Amino acid sequence: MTTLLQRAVLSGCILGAAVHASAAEEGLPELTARGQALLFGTHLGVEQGSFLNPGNRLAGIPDAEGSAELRLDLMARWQPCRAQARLRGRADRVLDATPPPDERDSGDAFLNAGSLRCRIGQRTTVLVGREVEQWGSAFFLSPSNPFFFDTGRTDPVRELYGKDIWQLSAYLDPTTTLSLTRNYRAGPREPERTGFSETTALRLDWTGQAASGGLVFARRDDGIERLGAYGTWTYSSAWLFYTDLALARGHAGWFARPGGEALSWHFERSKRDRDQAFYSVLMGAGYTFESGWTATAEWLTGNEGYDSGERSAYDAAVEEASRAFAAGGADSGEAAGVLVAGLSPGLPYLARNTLFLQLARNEWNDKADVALRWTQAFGSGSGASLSFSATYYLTGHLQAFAIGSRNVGGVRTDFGRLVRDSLSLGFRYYF
Amino acid sequence: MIRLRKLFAAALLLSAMAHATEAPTPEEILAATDRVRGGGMPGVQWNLTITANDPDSGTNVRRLQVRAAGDNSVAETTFPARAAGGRLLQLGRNMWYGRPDLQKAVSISSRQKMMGPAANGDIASTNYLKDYDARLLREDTFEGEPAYVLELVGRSRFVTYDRIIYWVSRARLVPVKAEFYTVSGKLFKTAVFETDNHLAYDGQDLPFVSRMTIRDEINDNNVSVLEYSEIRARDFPLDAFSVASLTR
Repeated sequence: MTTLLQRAVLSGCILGAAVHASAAEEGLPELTARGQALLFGTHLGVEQGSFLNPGNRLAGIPDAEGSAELRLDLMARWQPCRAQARLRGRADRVLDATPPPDERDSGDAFLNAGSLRCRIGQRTTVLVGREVEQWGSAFFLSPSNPFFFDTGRTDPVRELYGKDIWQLSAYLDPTTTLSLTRNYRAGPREPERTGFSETTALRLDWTGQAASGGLVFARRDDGIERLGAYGTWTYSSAWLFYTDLALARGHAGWFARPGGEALSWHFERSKRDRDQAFYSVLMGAGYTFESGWTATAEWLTGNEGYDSGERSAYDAAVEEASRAFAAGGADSGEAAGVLVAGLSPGLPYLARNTLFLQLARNEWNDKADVALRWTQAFGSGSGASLSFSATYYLTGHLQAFAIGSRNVGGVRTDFGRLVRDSLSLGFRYYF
Repeated sequence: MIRLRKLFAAALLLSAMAHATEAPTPEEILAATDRVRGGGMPGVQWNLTITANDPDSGTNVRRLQVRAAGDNSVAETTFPARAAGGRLLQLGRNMWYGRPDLQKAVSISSRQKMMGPAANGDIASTNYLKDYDARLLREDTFEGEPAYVLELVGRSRFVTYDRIIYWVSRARLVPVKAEFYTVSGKLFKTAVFETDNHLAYDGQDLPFVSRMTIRDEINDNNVSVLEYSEIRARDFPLDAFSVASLTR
């Protein structure tokens, strides 16, 4: 089915939904507007010895930045439809960057998410727009999700950018939902737009008495297929166990290969068309103490990251390109291309085994949210990251927050490649 | 939904039988009192204002809208602004917390407090009949009103409270007082109920809880008052209790 035809069918469904509105559902539109204004400063301790970002000349990471952000969430509900728009405006002032020391301003305004969703009868909904489609219980990564590996749950301020989708959902019974989702366009702010491929996913969700889960089959238009599964078992009032896993055929990541025009190495998507199986498995558990603190542990293992040989090739390619880029000259253009591929190699993770630990408390004395996290990678490129986030409720509208991280390991490790440490301090006002 | 309506009708019948005989069974009493707190209803919605007085954090007010159908419920915060839009979804024993700005709903255990001062089990509809084994301890009076005194013992590892002593008005079959105990037998909370609300359902005028005052017995100064208003029966579409809707 062509994209044009798909959209025509979808438009027909939406019109049909409007026509099928029952009398009981008809009424005046309900409008909701909520907003947040954020004002914060961020310090980034740039890794000066980085191979990927020699002398910080490629990524140009600012040492310090002041940001003001306005988030406006609008919703209109007029049964059987509901429209929403999440508008974002942001202004940044880079206070210092090396080299050379500099001050510059930048701004941006965009629609991070926005959709129209209509119900057709009691059992079917249709949605079109830009969304962050998430499921499962994982904090660290969600392997079963073909749209978002990143869960966005380890940073209370940063938002994921929505992707343009349409979705048909059928509520088969109170416990089972079947949905068909098509991601037909790269999100305007996706960091890896060059690797984008339109994707269709069929998902079955189920909720039992003390467990829930689902199956997802996804196919990218470039031929990569992915079968995912996720599930959560509520063992008791304190314990949760969960998993999030995927089996894939083909791999969209960039792999270092010998031979370039001037350099010895280049990156290519050498496994995209291979009939080779890849897997990722995340197992997790959470326990809530009587005091309200919740400890979470997740173990991620799989072969979608580099093995030791691939990691050695990656490191060799990056180090050679780093030297060529730093030296300038005729090879620096090719070197920059290699480094950019090295910065975003299109892998869900680099190290094949990772442990994620979190200790968190929400609504602490009705005054604060606190979380402490430790992420440890094992094997090639092992390294670790310690991070924290804390939010204090100053009033019913105003919060102060602090988010920080310290990366442990050398410049060849996953966490130490670009930034050594970071700290953000700011305020968030709700209206 | 039709099956749920039949179950609810059966519960009403049991409740009526309880009135007709001198000694309803503990299960019949629980079925009637659960209904007064929204439990097992085919579809009901109410507004809830929680005012918590805590010596550590002062006075906190939170307003919610609760929608419940059978075992499922969703409670959405409407006040304060910093928490508005936050939703606690309960499907059977599974619980999720979501907020439009979080982008991903979080699976939580019932111990995790995500909705301010009250326990999750106090916010959602009450299903003691499903969660507890009940026996009649004695008959007593509470504020001059004859009452059954039931002992409820949690029959699963999911319950918010391990043991409850529950005073139920003999004449009205509505809860009037509860004592909540830990596994070790220590009293840690008491609750007093007022049931001045009414729910129009299926041509009947049913009593519904209007106020629940919870006192922390370990720290006497810690008191939460839950006030219920705008109770009405509703039919909800199947997607009203979906995880995806928590973040949208």
